[in-house]
Parts: sequence; structure tokens; C-alpha cells
Amino acid sequence: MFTVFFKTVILYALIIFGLRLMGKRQLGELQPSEFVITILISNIATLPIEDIDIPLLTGILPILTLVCCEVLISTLSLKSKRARRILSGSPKIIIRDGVIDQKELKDLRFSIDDLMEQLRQNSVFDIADVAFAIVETTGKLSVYPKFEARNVTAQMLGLPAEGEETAPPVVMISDGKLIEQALPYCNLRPEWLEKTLREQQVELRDVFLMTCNRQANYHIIKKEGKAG
Amino acid sequence: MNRFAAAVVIIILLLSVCTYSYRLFSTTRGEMMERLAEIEAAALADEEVGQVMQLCQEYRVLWVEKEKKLMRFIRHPQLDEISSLTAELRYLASGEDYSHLLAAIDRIRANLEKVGNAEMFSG
Repeated sequence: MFTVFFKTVILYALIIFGLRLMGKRQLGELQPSEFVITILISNIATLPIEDIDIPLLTGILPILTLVCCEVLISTLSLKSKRARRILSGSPKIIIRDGVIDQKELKDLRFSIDDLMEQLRQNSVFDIADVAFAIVETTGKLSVYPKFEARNVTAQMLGLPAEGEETAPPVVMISDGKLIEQALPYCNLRPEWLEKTLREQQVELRDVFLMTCNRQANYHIIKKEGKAG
Repeated sequence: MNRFAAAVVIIILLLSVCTYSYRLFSTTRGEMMERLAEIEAAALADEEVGQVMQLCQEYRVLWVEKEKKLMRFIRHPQLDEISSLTAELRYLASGEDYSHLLAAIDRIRANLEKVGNAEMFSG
């Protein structure tokens, strides 16, 4: 049983290392080759764990080989457009000005149901509202709506831009611990934080989440059981 | 060190491990084949039973030592087959008829060749 335990720990560490070497990607954004590699690695890793007659190296070697091949291939894809086209394919436009390119749809083996589902996921319920719809190499659909179907922006309404660029709020306190970089990011001092917490009658350790932006607009969520 | 360089270094290390494993097995196979040939020659020359048994025992001790290293690279069932045949040799040598002993030696040779062929890619 010790064999199984140590093999599992080693292979777990190896898989983490391999995934870090390959770089971070969300599962839904994996290229076809990356998806295949991920499935292969998970299957290969189980073999030495399940069967103690299989040497650990028989798992380590193929996993590392696959990871390294993936890194080399992705580097090649970065440097060569042709390689990228061969390995990942290229995005395809399937809707132009509300008209479906049926030939392209057939080539991609995309059914109407798949298309309508992806359009709905992009908040589009009428094909006539679509200026362009592009199937990406990951299989996801990107939609560019027609002008009349687009969301209204501040620019369209002619609203004046704010005096300075608005940066998004950041997490300042997480689970009772202060995030060191947050105060300098928001151009605030520790004294301001102490004063704010005092005004809100809460201590640092009792804060579940505090967010703040550069305009010193903050939002505090207290830990349950400590509210009030 | 960027990812590409790390991948290249790891591939080189992996190829080194493969080369080492193949060399280890080739060397072991060569040694074991020589010893098997000695046992076979002694049996065919009708040497004293004690001497043939002694050669078989030495062979077994050598195999047990080599097997510990090979187990890191080769699947155990393949090695187990050779080990079980090796364990029988000394007792087969104690009989008057060496035909079973010679058959076991041939089976060990065949298994060693099979493992060696599997180690090197041949499609």
C-alpha cells in the first residue's frame, strides 16, 4: 500500500508540474491538441497507481513526453502562422449580415441546434440581429451584433468621459487578512483603513471580504456570526 | 528559463533515461545469455550434476541482483516470467535427464529476447 501511496503523491506532483509547464488555460478554451493531452495525461497517470506491477517511470516518462511535446508544438504555433493553421485550424465565419453560410456550417459539422444554442448563450435570440458570427478554433461562437441590436454604450449616448480612468475595485481584505498591494493600488493609507473599519465597527479579523476602488468607494462583507 | 527551454531540457533527460534503460537491459541480457550458454554447455557435456547445479545457482543469484534494477524500467510480469523459470533451473539440473533444463534455458532466452525487442521501438 505504501507503493500506491507514494506513486500517487509523485504522480500528482508531476501532473501539477506538467500543467504549470503547459501554462494556464480554462478548460473551455483548450485547443484540440491541449484537450487531447489533458485527457491522455489523466489516463496515463492512473496506470501505475492502479497496477503496482507497472513501474513508476512507465507513468512519468509518457506524461513528461506529452507535456514537452505540447510545449514545443505550442511554441511552434506561436512562431508560425502556417503551423497554427494546421494544428488549430482557423476561425470560420458562419453568419454574415443575418445570413447563415450553410456550406461552412456543414463543413464544421455544426448543426442548427448547436448554432442556436451558442447564439442564445451569447444573448442573441434572432439570427437577423447578427452582423457576424465566428466559430473559433476552440469551437466557441463569437457574435458581433448589428448596430441596432448592440447594447447601448456611454459613447453612443454622448455621455462625457470621467475625469480620470476608472480602475476596477480590488480585494483589500480577504478572510480577515489584509492584501498588502491593495492600499497602494487604491492610493490609500493604512490610517484610512483603520478609520474606515472603526466607523463600520468591525475589526480586520472579522471582515470576510472588503473591496475598494481608487475613488475610495468600498464594500465590506462581515463574517457570518460577527455581523452587527 | 522559459517553457520552451525547459521542455527541451526535459526531453533530453527523458531520452537519456531511455538510453540508460536500454543499455542496462542490453548489458544484462548479454550477461545472462552468456551464463545460460555456460549452463547449457555444461549440461550437454554431461558435467557433474553438482557443477551444473552450482552454475544454475550462480545464475539465479546474478538474476535476482539484476532484476532489482530492471524493475524500475520494465513491467514486472515480464520479469516475473523469467524469475520463475530461473528459480526452477537448479532443481531441473538435479534430475538425470537434462532435457527439461535445456527447455527452461530456451524459454528464458526467448523471454529475454522478447523483453529486449519490446524495449526498442519497432512499430
